[in-house]
Amino acid sequence: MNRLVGGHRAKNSPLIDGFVCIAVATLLTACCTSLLGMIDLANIVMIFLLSTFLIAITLGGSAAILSSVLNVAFFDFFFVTPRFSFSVDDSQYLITFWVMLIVGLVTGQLGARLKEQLFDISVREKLAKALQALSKGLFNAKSEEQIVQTTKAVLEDVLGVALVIVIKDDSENIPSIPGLDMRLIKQAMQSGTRIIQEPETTRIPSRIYLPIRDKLNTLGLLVATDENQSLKLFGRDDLLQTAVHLLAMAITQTRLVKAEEDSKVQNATERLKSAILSSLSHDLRTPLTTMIGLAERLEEGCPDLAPENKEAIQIIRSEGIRLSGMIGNLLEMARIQTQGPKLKRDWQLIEEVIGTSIKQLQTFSPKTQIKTDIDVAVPPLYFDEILIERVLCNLLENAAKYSSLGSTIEVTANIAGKFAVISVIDSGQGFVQNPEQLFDMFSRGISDTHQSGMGLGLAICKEIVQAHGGSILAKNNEARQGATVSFTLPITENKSLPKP
Amino acid sequence: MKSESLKVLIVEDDVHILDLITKAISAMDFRPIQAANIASALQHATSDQPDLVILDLGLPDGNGISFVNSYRQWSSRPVLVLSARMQEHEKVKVLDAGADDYLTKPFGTAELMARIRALLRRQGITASNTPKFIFGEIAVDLSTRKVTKADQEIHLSPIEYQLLSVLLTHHGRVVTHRQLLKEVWGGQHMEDHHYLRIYVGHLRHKLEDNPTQPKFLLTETGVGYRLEI
Repeated sequence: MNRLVGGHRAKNSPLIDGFVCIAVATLLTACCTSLLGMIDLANIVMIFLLSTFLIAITLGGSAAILSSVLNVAFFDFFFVTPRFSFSVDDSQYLITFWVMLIVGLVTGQLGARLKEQLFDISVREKLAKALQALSKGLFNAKSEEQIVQTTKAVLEDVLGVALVIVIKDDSENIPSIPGLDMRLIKQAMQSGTRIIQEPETTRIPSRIYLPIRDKLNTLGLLVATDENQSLKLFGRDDLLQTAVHLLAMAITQTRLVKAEEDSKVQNATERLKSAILSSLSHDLRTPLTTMIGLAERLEEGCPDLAPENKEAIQIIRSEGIRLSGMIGNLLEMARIQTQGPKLKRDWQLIEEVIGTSIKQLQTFSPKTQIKTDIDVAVPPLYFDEILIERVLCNLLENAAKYSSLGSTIEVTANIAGKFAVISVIDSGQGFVQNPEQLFDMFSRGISDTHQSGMGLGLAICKEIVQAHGGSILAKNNEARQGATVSFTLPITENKSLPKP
Repeated sequence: MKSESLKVLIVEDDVHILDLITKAISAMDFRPIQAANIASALQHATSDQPDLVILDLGLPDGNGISFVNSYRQWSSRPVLVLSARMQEHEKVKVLDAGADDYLTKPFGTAELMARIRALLRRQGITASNTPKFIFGEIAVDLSTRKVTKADQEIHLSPIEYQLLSVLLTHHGRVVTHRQLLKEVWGGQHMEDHHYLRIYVGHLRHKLEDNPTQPKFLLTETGVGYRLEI
């Protein structure tokens, strides 16, 4: 007997029970009548009592009541003188009747209860075994689908319930399940407590909504339905509650294992990427070093060069340095795109970074004039100097590229509310296209000119500035020629900084 | 010490760059010694006793840092590191291991020669132990602790003075944040780089004509500072 339902409450109808009781009483009467004279009435009473007891443990308590009443009646009618009448000659028999009735009722009830308890114990044992099987099955489950399948396979049949298991963190996105109350599903998942629907009439199935929870979060929901009887029977509701705890543990476990595997793969990928980037950077820069070095040697070694040849050599050198800068941008962008900018922030003075960026610009564009105007009130800021230097270098390089030769670039820094604003102002031709689009990858300020560049610079600037909690903005100058690119960095207070 | 006798060991695996540096060294009237990997570099370093080592970090038989580590156990002569990798933490690592200066590829020969001269000159000056330094309009006398700019005395706080004197004793080469913090603050505030940055800022405002575009007190982004005199 696998199913609990079939075994227990699908019992004979009261009519059949009554018929059996009458038949037993009649049969006993017939047997005892034929033996009358050979056995005492007292023994006949014993036989009747025995029949009540047997009926109690086979047919249950109510049949036992009927049986004991019937037995008293049959005994009185067929065996006590005057026979075939309910009247009694010897009033002592009244005591016999009462004793018979009471003993029959009591033993009947005891027997029936014994039988029920035995059944109950065997059912609970089956449930305990099912739970054991469940925990074993869940231990071996590798995925959430397997968890659901195992749970259904182990519990549905033994418990005699239909299960619906949904593993989903968000109660909003659960697909509607036919026959179930979506309102109750959401309520159970959001509150994290179980909801039991108990039938008042037999037409409504008994149903329990159990949220699957770990310590903090709702992981999903289990709905158990029994069409025939209450789920509270044999403590099936409590068993389901335990099953749900096991489910929660199994789900958390599989997720942990999965996360660990994912992070292993991710680490390996990142290591590979950074190895590729690092060797690319090495392999591309080494030939450039030779190029630049040779150009310099040519320039120094041949003082008699014609001016146009000398200029050509100088261009080879400065373009080589520019190319190296572009490789830097490209690798930086690749790194930011794959890993996200990793900030190594520290408190520092913005003027220092502006200074190093200007110095870098001058290595390949020595003729560019740069004017700085830094508000002394700008406090030390919290940023990654290498990345912010990259931003400033890119902005200065762009400004130098799109300005006419020998023009002045202005770098300013001042305070605007809770931000420091750093601006690079040039006096070139300004932006032709919408300044908003400038920061998209590979879009270039001026699309077809003699000036080369990949437009990568501004895209990187945007990524870096945003990672610092600032913003970047480009606009054409209103009062004069040229354009301004400004970025902001948040000002945060640091009490541990030394005072001047 | 005549410059003809000065020997420079060049450790570089790229043939063209090796050739380029060799020619630059020869042009400076120094004697170049070539090595293409760490093993032969160590061999030459012991047998030839070079006055300066120029070391590429990415070598076929390992990272140049391992060369610096073993070289520093028995020699204090200058090491100039070349690196194509941009990662600042690698530069800091090799400088903290005992290298004196670094150049990032691609570099120009002019810059390379200037660095070589500065490193060799510094060695000579350390030997003569001059307490007086003059750069631009600034004069520093370490024996009297007096700092003047255009003959006007400049008042420096004790920490600013200490910072300046550390940079002066290492002038011409890069000093990492860590080394400066250790020498100026003596092991305290080893992680507080911002102390350093702010005092360098003060020093620049007192010494430099244009603190934003300094001529002498230069920043090596992500690595440290260099006093160029």
